[in-house]
Amino acid sequence: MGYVSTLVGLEILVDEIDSSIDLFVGTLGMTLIERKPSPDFAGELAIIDAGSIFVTLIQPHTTGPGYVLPQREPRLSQLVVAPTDGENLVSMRQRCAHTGTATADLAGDGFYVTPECVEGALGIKTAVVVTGVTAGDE
Amino acid sequence: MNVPLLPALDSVDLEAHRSAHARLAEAFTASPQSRSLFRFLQRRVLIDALANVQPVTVRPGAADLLPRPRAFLTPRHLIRVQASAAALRHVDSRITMLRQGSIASLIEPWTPMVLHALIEGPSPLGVETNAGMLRATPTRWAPDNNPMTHPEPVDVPELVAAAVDFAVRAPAPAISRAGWLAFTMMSIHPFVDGNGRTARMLFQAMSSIDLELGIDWGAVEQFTLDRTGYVDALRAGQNLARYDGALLDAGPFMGFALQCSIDGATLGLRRLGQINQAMTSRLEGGDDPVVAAVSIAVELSSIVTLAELGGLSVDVETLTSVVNGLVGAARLQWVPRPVSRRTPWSSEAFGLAITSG
Repeated sequence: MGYVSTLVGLEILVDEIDSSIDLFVGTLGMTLIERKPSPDFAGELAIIDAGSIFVTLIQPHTTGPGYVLPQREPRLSQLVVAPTDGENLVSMRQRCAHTGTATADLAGDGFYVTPECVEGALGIKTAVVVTGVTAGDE
Repeated sequence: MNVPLLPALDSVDLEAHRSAHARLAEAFTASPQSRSLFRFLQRRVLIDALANVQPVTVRPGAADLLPRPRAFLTPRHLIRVQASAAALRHVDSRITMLRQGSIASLIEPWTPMVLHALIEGPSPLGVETNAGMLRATPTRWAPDNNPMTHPEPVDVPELVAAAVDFAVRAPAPAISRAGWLAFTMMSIHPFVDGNGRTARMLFQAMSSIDLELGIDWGAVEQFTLDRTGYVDALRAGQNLARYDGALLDAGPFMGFALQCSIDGATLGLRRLGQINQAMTSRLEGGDDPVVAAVSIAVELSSIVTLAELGGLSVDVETLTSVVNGLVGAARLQWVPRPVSRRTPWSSEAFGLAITSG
């Protein structure tokens, strides 16, 4: 059986973004693509090119400017997957509904399997984000 | 009596509520198998909602017409579902007793504690939360979520007694009193944990009292589907620093609950229509009514065990015979159950599914 989706990214909430970049870039030799204040909430983010996937590191702040994330504990916060050939967001979401998997709408393009549901599968509260970006897109 | 005032709801909205539930009740005069199938589906949806399990939807914020059962439940949610089912049985039994004239009041002063004991007794969090007992310690929400401070523990017994007494006796429609009671209980926050689930169960009981069907099948499902609206309606009435009955405003939540009850009844009517359509199609194809009902129940569930089909209220011998016949005719097949659908109390390796193709 072929696969219908592929992993394109990880998002990790971290305590300290400098040391996190140091691990991925300074030690493991990956490439830092971008580092900037988060456009969505109070905090800073860094995007790492990890070869076949991107790793987004986020250090949430406890004060503004911006929306302060209520849950700031370090964790693997997102697995980002994309449909592969022959599948799309609609068919992926129907696939989730058919198997009884709880999903929610994502601002913009896509949806996510809720952390509550992923916790039932993996034991950790992580969102599985299904994005319209297809594997290989830049 | 330091509990909130009970504002009057809009008479047009109340009429829409009466009308929506009357239409659902009228549609219930369809075949007994359609009624059984509706209960089979809606009971599962309602229990999940009472347990605050996130629903399965394709369209955001909207209920799938015939949603599949949830998979990948955590141990905490599995326990919550079992506990909510037990509490709903308690409510169901009391509604039946009330209708038979065996009891004078659906909700007694001790009802919140009994419901809480059923909901929290199995200890979903795995820590002691004093099931069935009012809290003796201060509690508060995370200030980021809601800055209102709950009443002091010493005041809680009197407040809960006053809330129940007022909700039972107030001269207002049951849906108004139900929304008011849920809002007031969540504001008093009388338990260490499980306050939302207990308040929703009290809402479920109170809102069902004057409905022809004896149960509000859909309101609490709507609470879950619009979780943001639910939280916003609560907060809109709790815009103060410290609990004060005179300053709390139950109106926003009562209005939200009323609309949820209307929307739930409307969705229920559509679901019943869809079920009726499926029944008619199978009967026209020559199926016996029970055979048709079993095959539709399997379709509604994707994969289902024989025990789960017991929810159709068909006796075990007949059910087994019908299933064997459908499997023999290659209309149903036994397939491995996904691990995501197995539970400690339903661990069967195989379930029934519609034969593909």
